[in-house]
Amino acid sequence: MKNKEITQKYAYKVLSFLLILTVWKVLSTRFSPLVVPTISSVFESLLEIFMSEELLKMIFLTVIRLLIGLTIGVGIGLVTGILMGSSKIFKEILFPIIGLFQTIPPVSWVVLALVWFGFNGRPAIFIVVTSTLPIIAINVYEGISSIDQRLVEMAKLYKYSKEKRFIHVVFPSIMPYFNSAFRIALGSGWKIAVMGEVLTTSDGVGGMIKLARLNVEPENIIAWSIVIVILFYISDFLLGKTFFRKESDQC
Amino acid sequence: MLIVKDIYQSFGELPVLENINFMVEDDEIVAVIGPSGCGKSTLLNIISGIEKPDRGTVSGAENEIAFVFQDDRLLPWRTVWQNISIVNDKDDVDVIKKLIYDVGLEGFEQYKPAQLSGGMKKRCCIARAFYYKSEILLMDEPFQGLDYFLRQKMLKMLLKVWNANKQTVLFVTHEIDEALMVANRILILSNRPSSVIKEIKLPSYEERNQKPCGLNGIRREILSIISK
Repeated sequence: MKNKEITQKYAYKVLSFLLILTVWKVLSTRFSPLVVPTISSVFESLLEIFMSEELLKMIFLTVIRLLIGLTIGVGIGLVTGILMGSSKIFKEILFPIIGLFQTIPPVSWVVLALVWFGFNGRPAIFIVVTSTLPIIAINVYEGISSIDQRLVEMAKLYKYSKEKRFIHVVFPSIMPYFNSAFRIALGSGWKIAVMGEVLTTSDGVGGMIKLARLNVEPENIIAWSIVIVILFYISDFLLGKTFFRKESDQC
Repeated sequence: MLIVKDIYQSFGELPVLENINFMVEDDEIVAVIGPSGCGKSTLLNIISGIEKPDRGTVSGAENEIAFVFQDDRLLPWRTVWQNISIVNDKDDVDVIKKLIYDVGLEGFEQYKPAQLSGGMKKRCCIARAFYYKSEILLMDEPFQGLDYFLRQKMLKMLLKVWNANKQTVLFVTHEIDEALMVANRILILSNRPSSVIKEIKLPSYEERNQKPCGLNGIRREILSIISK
């Protein structure tokens, strides 16, 4: 990308950020701080979060819950997607189950998980699993279904070994589907993990948001929400820089 | 020896091949000529095992087969070098380099198929087929889309590779001159549902070189058969 294009790209981002701040500023002057807190009060809350070891631990807790949920969800989703893509029988059996995971609202899962696991943060992990699983499974299935059969025929004709066929034909065909599914799952995972925490525990970022709600501290609610946005961008950036970048180089 | 016996193939209600019978001797080059849509590609697919015929058998094609597909079938996420080298378990760097040079893709080793022109992809496909250690080489209009000079070069290369490896070669072409230049024998297929309507044995390469005008009669004969 040329320097001019890069500058332009960042200029638009700064512009977008300034637009949000302007709207916020206008609204905060028109409404009470209890409805729309001031920018400075949110900034102070953010500073407090990043300066306090105790509060950083809360962020760490949410990150761990999200990672566990994503790992389990991706693992089961991957296996389910591969099974559905490789056998018509498995597809017929598993697709309705995946449909259930897709349609049951996360809130219903949270209530069920509360009954099963109690008020200990595990329901937050559980709903990350239930939301990640169908996204990954369906996309991996789509990836397998879209493998170019002409390439499969070529690979058979040239007697590629099973490993070679997987590495050079199957894997690169699935990867774009998996990558986008994982990015979607990661984005929604942050939101769902925090929602689960709000409803089921008193720690983690969600627990802090709940506490701020109970204490009527909207500036803290916004500050913790900003933390989640920052964490999402960091995780997305890191994924893009490592895993996805390597794959796109390879493909 | 490749033996194609009583092959019948249809797509739904549409009969494509009907009672196809022929043999290709070991280390023989046979060209298949016929009108468009007569099932030449289907015939190669059946011989390679990609398609199953409704009836009939193919024997002698159980071992390694290299195939220059009409639609390239290169791995889009792999480079030219990788697409060629992948077909054998061990990389013979010198052979791959030589093949890439011979097909005129020198400097494009690290390019991916999407970055190549149609003709370049075709040449990569040809290099891959030549690199694969096979007993049978099937080619489905391998030189289509190449300019005249490149086509001549590729035909000479085919003869060179064939002389070195003595493979059984069966290639489908629309170009009568291509067939006359490299084949030992020409099979002419009829319109759909097609069968072999004529088999023409060509003079030896020496004779062809000494009396090139001797091929004019054969060319006319093929044209008159196809035009019917």
